[in-house]
Amino acid sequence: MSTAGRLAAAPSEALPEPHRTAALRRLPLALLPLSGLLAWQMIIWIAAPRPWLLPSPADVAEVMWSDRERLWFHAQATIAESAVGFALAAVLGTALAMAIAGSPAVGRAVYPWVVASQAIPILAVAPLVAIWLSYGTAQVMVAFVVAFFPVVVTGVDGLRGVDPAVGRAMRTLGASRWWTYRRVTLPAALPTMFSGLRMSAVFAVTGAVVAEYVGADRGLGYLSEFSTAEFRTARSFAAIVLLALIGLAFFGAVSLAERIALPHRRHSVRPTWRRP
Amino acid sequence: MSEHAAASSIEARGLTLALGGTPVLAGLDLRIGPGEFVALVGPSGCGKSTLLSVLAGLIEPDAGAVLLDDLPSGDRLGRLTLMPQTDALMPWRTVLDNVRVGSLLAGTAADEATAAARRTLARFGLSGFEDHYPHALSGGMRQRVALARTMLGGTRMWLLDEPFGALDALTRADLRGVLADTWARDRPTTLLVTHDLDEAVLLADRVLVCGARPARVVGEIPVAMRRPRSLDDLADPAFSEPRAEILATLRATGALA
Ligand SMILES: Nc1ncnc2c1ncn2[C@@H]1O[C@H](COP(=O)(O)OP(=O)(O)OP(=O)(O)O)[C@@H](O)[C@H]1O
Ligand SMILES: [Mg+2]
Repeated sequence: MSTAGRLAAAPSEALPEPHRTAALRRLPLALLPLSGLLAWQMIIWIAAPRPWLLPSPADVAEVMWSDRERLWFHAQATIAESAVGFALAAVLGTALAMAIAGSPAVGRAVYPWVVASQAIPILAVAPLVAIWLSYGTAQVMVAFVVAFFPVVVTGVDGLRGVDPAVGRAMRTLGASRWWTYRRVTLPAALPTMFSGLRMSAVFAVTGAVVAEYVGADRGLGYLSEFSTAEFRTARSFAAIVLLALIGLAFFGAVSLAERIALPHRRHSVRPTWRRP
Repeated sequence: MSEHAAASSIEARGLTLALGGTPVLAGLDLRIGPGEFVALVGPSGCGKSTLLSVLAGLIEPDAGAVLLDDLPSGDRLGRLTLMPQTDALMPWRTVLDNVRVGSLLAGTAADEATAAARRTLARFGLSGFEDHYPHALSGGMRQRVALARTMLGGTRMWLLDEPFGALDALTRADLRGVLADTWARDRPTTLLVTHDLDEAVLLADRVLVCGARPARVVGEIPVAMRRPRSLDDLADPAFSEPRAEILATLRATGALA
């Protein structure tokens, strides 16, 4: 509401044309969260629920500030667990995808089981993992397991879908098998691999949080769980908001890496920072 | 670079190959002299692209042999440059990098390869596009880039698989001129697969006709026309007679009604 009002009230002459259109193009992006916030506030105004049942956005914002040190402490734990889980999934998942796509024998022996493993409900297994492994390790493990699958599947699809014509042309120009794999097959599969990595980055955060719910001594999932149990609902909400932001940041980080690695997807000319 | 590589003769003897149970080549024989330009026409699906893969060394035949300069060449991959039916450019590399890759793979020093690529791009009317990515080019421009890469590949044996098949008639006529000039400069041993009979007679010294699958050479028509040739000469009997003969041979294979 207020943002829209400010935008409308801004003197349009003050903004040069391109900036103004850029601001206008971003407007739809803010529409959904703003109307969500508005609906939330309306419920508070109209139904006036008790604060421990449903805190107001202002209450949550207030807790986010006043309790920032505690929130940051737990956020760090969640970020670390998710990041390690995701990194393991990215590296091992890509390696397995390369093995599956590269060898029909490995593909037949392993791939069906990778797919079948997805039928196991991770929510049911997480408590067991929490018993078997120490705090921290268990969270990394669950984050890894959840993030692994999309990396493998998109990796296999990407590598198998590469048009062999380019590699064959390069082979006739004298390229070795290894050169062709590294310089043609892998780059050609990269766009598909990145969509898997983006998904799996978000999944890793979810995985770490699920594992924190069932057994941990720190992390935003743990904080949210025991805050709810103590009816400190505002703090629980604050933890959830932070988790959403962390998920977005993970997604954004992978998208940024993709933009840097694949400039041709966005530019028609080699960007200046790529020129030798 | 290409000046030093030899333009060898290419010979196929009794090439036989089945793919997935389908016989595609059945005792195919052909010979292309050093520096000769030969065109190959034939019905779609008869095995022309497969033949080029075998000649290039990408697929080994079930029986028969490929000879370069009359020597059996089991290990010929990298000695003949294949220009595939699609432009086969790498979308993540700029025009310059796509063209350079051929000479770099041939062992040319980087700055020399860059200079050669820039010269060739200029000759092909692509100066100013060196730093563009392929998706920002038109189909004709991409095909020029692919041709430039093939030219700079450091080999002087070219296997061109319908290089202009996907282009409009005007662009095709234009690129045909580019190819004719380039061939006249370098004199590589060339086998051009095409569906366009005008293209075949305008470019080639000799036109081979291949029958329906499994492929065999069923006709050989020489084109005795001076070079440089021009589109205006198509009515000349030196063109129209071989063209009619190719057509008659194709009819005899049952490829045409
Ligand atoms: N990997 C494969 N497995 C089975 N059959 C194949 C394979 N590759 C090609 N073939 C068969 O070989 C035949 C020849 O294919 P090829 O691509 O060489 O034809 P072509 O003469 O180049 O056709 P076009 O003029 O349409 O390009 C086709 O009929 C196809 O069915
Ligand atoms: Mg073909």
